[in-house]
Amino acid sequence: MESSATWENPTTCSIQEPDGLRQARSCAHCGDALTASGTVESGGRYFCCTGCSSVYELLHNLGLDDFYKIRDAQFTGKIETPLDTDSAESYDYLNTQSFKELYTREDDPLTMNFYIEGIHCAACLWLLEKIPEFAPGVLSVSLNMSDNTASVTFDKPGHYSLFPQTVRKLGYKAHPIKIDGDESVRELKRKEGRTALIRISVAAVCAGNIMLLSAAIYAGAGGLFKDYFGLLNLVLTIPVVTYCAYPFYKSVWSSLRVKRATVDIPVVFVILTGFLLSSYSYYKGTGEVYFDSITAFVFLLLTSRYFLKIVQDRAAGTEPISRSLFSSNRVLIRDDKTREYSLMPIERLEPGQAIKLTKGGRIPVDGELLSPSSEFSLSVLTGENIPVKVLKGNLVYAGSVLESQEAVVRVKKTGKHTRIGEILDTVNRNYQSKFNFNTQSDRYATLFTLIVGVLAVVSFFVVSSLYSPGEALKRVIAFVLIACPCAFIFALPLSLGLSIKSGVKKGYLVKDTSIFDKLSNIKNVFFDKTGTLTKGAFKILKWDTDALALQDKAAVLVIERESGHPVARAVVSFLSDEQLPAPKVDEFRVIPSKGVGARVNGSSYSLLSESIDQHSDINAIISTKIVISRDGEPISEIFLGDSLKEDAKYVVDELQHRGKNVFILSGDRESSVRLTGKKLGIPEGRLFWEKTPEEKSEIINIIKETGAGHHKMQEWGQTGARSAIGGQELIKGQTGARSAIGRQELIQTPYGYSMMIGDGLNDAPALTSADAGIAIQGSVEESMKVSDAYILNNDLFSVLELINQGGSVKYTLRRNTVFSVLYNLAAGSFALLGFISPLIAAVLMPLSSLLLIGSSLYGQQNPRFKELKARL
Amino acid sequence: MNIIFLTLGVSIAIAVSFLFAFIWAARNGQYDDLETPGHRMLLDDDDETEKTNKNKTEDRDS
Repeated sequence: MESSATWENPTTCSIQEPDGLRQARSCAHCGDALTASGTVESGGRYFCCTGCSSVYELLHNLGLDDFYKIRDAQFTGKIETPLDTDSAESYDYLNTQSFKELYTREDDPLTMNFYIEGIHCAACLWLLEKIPEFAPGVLSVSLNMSDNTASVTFDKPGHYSLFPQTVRKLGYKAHPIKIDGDESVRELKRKEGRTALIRISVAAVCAGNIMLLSAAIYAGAGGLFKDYFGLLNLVLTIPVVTYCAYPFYKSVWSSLRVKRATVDIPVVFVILTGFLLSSYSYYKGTGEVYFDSITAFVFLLLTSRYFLKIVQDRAAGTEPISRSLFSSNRVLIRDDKTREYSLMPIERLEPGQAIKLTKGGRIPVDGELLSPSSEFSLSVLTGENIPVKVLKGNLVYAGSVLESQEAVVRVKKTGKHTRIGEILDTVNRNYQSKFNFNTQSDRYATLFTLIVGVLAVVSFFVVSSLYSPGEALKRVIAFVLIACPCAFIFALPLSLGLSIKSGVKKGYLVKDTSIFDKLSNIKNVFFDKTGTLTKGAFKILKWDTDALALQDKAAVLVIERESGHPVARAVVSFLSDEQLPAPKVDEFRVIPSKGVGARVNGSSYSLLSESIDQHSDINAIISTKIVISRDGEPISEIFLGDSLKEDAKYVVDELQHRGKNVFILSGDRESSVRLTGKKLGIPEGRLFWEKTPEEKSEIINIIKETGAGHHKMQEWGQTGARSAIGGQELIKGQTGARSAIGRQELIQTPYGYSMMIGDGLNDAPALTSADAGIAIQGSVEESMKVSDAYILNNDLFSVLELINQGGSVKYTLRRNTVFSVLYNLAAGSFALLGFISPLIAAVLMPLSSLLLIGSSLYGQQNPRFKELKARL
Repeated sequence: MNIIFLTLGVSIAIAVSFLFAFIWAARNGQYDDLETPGHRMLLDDDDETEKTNKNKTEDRDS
């Protein structure tokens, strides 16, 4: 209260703004807003961090200033701040034999492929492809912006490290891509795509020419012309019904073997009967010839399937999850005889080996700690950033990040067998089953096929008994052509594909399009706390530094530099911009679980944590209060903690206002979760704390089941107990009993889909258990594998937009379905009654497709929530 | 009217030659990445000015 000015803007406490800063409010490289504390000045320009300034300097020195010109012209978003440009990471290991074997092809040892992180626009393309001009040893760089990969050639095998090193200096990050498995899958996909295109092109050429020739015949060309044109049509149809239509035959054949109906059955029926009948008519010189209808039909169908495939491929990521988790691909292994360390690819790790990690490194295995004691951040598993101390001989889990300087670990389990590996494995399986789940519309299409098939057969017999088999065949072909659900199938992927595209513009990536089916019927919304509802950074929320004397500040700084505690780190970084003297620290002592004390300049200082009386500020989640005392007199208080995102309250209110149940699933402590819940107005019974990733997933499953009407009280008790065991492993247990608080609430939850919004990795199991999993932070590649959608701008508001879009997509799909059904009923019955000839049917079919496409496009124009956004 | 057969033959020959051109392009992977070349094309002009700029700065430096 006494320092409201500092409170509102803690970073401007006591630093003078440089003069030019008023004009340059944003970073010259990445365009981020500048803050007084972190601004770096270089050559009259201002940057948000040293990373940005060093990239700028490098580009300037290389004469590549055009990067900014191109970027400003091409790219309106914000580029990411460069990824650790000055990290000491060396890529020399790439030049060794064991890595060369993994990353290059034997027959082409000079080419290596890289996945590039941080690409956003044409300026990046320009810059990266310029690398050969200033990096000797790199011969060529060819970047593919659709999958962010670069194929790089080098002048000789020992130079592989040159490319990633140069790229890092430019502010991107390059990960070499392994040659085995994935690469060949990708190659196969590419080939498939090319073949599909060729089939379409052949069908287009044949169908186009056939239409021209047929037009002449319809116009009344007779005699010789009619004969030759007919012959030409027949010849042109042959490649279409053999080569182009091959995928349909294949699909029908494989579906018949497993005795399932597919939409391709009527397609093949039309193609084959149409072709045979027409050939026969041509040979006899009488009767109807449908070469034009068949070829146009095949062409349209192939095209629609091609688009469908593109949409699906975008949805299914082919890369294995674990690879991106351990973006580092090598590790220091100890040779047990010589006790020396050497770099080895992670894939070659075996249980029993000892590996060495340095600060910030992620452990690739489950193992036993050999070093005396080290601090690890378990954020991948728990989502919380505060490090945990592990003692010698205890287990450390793969994915944990080392916070101490160095640690040696004995490998116990590797790869899939590690705990995180198992989690990711489950996620993979869940994801597979989710992806195979037929959307409602798919099921309609199959049902539709069956009805059409049955109707066709029945009416063939009815009509042929009433008239003649020839007339019956004609009517049935017209019927199947008209009733073919391909218009429907075409419209569906199109409107989903368009939704995906417009989602990107609005700030979210949608992977699994079946999410749109569910979004409008969401009942339970689960939020992760740290990093999702809150900003996820443990920092100083309030500290009145102006009231402190300079020497006291200096004393606090030097004392906290001695300590490695997260609180100390926050304090040190808070004070790092101030010009402070560095007096000597005497008698430094750690008071366990309370704080630190020391003697500086003859005064005795202590920094102790105290219990918190909650602050009323709307967004602050204070978790720690530190009292600074000099010679026993308290002189200042520091409040540390996390803060809610600005839009959290609004989004939660809006969701609850719409009648959805909002829950918090957190790995954090009870007090923080309760406080968050209170600030957001979420009822007590819907808060869950100290949950492991597995437990979060279980809670969602249980709520899903009970929500569906099965009252599984007993089983809930069991799972609660089971969870408690799981909890013991990571954090102190006591989870099961507390979860039971939520029980009453859960039983009453009415039926509806559940949605989980969380962090990409540590919430992975929960994200896949929920009907709709939305990841809001973490690396895009990682999160996209476990969630249905990823929010790009870290903005909770996008959750609301996503739900709205779900509604509008569902509405469009429903409109398309209704139209489709009505059209098919009307046109189909006319065809069966003999009012529509196959030719008219072949024209009507593409027309109805066009109508549906138009309807899908129109569906994108629905209101975009502007009014609500304005209220924010 | 026999000329019609000639024009027909020519038109089909043209169509087929275009088809083969397309197949050749597709097999060569020209349709694999539809995004990057579009950007790359836009950059070519800047490329030239950039080079002259670079030369200028080099001149100045020396």
